[in-house]
Amino acid sequence: MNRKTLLILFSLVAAIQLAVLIKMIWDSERVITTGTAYLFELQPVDPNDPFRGKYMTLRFEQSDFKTDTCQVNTGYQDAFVLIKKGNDGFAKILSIELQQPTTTQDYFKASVYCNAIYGKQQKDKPNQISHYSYVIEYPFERYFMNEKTIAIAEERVRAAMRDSTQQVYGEVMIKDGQSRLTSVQIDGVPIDELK
Amino acid sequence: MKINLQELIENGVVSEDVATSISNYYNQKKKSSPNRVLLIFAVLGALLIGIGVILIIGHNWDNFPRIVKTTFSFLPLILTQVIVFYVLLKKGNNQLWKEGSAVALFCAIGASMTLVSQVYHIVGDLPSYILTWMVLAIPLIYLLDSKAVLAFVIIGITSYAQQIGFNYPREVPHLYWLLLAAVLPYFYTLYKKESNSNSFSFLLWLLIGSVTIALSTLSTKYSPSFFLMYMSYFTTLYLIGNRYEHKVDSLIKNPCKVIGFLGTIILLLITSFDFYWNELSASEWRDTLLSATTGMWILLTVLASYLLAKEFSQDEKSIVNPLNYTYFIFLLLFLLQYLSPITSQVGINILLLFIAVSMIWRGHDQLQLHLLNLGLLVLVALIICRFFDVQISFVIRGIIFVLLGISFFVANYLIIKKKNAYES
Repeated sequence: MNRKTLLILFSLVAAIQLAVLIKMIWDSERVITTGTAYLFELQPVDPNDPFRGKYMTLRFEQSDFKTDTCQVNTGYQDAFVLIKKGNDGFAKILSIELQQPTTTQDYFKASVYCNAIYGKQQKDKPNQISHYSYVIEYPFERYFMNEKTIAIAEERVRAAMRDSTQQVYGEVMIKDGQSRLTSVQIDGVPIDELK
Repeated sequence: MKINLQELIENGVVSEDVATSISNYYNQKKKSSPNRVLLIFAVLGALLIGIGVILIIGHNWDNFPRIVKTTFSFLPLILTQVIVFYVLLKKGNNQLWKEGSAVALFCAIGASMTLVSQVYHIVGDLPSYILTWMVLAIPLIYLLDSKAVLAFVIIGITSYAQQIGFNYPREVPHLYWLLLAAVLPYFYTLYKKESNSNSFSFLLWLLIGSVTIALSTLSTKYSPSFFLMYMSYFTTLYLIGNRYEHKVDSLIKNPCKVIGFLGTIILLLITSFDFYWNELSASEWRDTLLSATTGMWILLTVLASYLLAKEFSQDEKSIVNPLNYTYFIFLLLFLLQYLSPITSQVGINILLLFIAVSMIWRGHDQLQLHLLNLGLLVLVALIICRFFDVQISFVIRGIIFVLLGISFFVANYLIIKKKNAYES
């Protein structure tokens, strides 16, 4: 291969590499700028989580969802979580479906897992399944932060969670099944702005 | 080869003109081949800088607005792209620059993708991240003639196959095979150019190791053809290794033979236990008869048979080495188990014994110490495995080990003595 062809081919490859990066950014920007904002209530995280690092791991209040029948039966599977804004301002799960919804915009893609929940053991009777429950693995459960400030931020979040007068939640932009976490807030103030 | 040209001229062995052209030839050769130590350091240096940049970036940068962070994410990629462009433009013949810049760009692709994920708090799934990275990196192997990037790509796609294929819910990583096919042409040119070089044998080890892992991800369900496929695969490797042997100067440069041998012995040791045969049943075939594993088994069996036929036609003596046709005996024993599982199990044990004895015998015959000792090791492994399921008192076990130990010494002593006598 002569030098000219080589340079042209490499320029092409470099352009593709850049294009992939631009596509990643474009997709995210589209969700953030044109999506709908939802607030997801947070749950305390075990402070001894060994995987803590440069990001804060978030646990959401609605980590599972009760259902009568189960569409997922083999481990984790991609599904669509339909949501609406509740009276308290927080997102509520309406249903979980395997097919992409066509009638609503208010859903996000997540990995779900179905658990069978058994009722109370009754005498002389085999244990019966009372209902099912979807365990949801949220696609936005990591909040990347500066490794210096993350310890302080986590302490604040935990303190706020212990205090029943304060509310802690993540703000997520949602559009066409895509979701992007934009901030973690304590009573409306993003944790990055807390000094 | 070290020659003192001056001495040759003085003694009239070569003329002065010939001496000058010989010395010119070697000087030219020295110039065109890159300094190997420098090359290794160039690759290592680029790798360290790359990892360093990823770490610095991982440190994060909360105070910048999003637009600044996004712009910064492009930096590693654009910077290394410019370097590679410069290398192709000005240093196109310098392997050192090419390898170094290729590795740097390889790291930068990963770094930039990580950065964007961090800016937007995307958790993402690791396999698709690795996949995108590898797809973007493969052209660098060809454009920059980079063996280091090839090694990283093989490791990357193997990790992709492992994550898709082994983690629940298991899926078949079809794209692994596509990406592997994409790097094979480069592999072939390397084979043509330098099949005896250290770097090529290192890459071959990686490639065969990778395929050995990936074969187990062909089907998501366990099929009875799984062991049959691997047995045919290892025999195929072993037979390829036999043909490849004359091209290389040491066994370590022949991963086909080493992995083929080790794989065969390990599979046979596993199937020498009764649990393997007890769990097999004809009903298992129902769901998996038409699986990719079965297809691959048939393909590899045909390939092994072809190689075996060639081996026999060239050297009839190869029948004394059962490793050349283990897959066939294993298949017979496998079919036999539908009539009598215990016969198959005993058959595997006899086969292993036969392999060990044939190695010891050939080692003795050809005065090859490593063959003899490997044969003894196979024997020891077989005996240790049998200790697990046969009730033998500790005294007898002890005596067997003492006898085996003595036989190691005696056999080696006899061979060395015979070798010395032969050489003198």
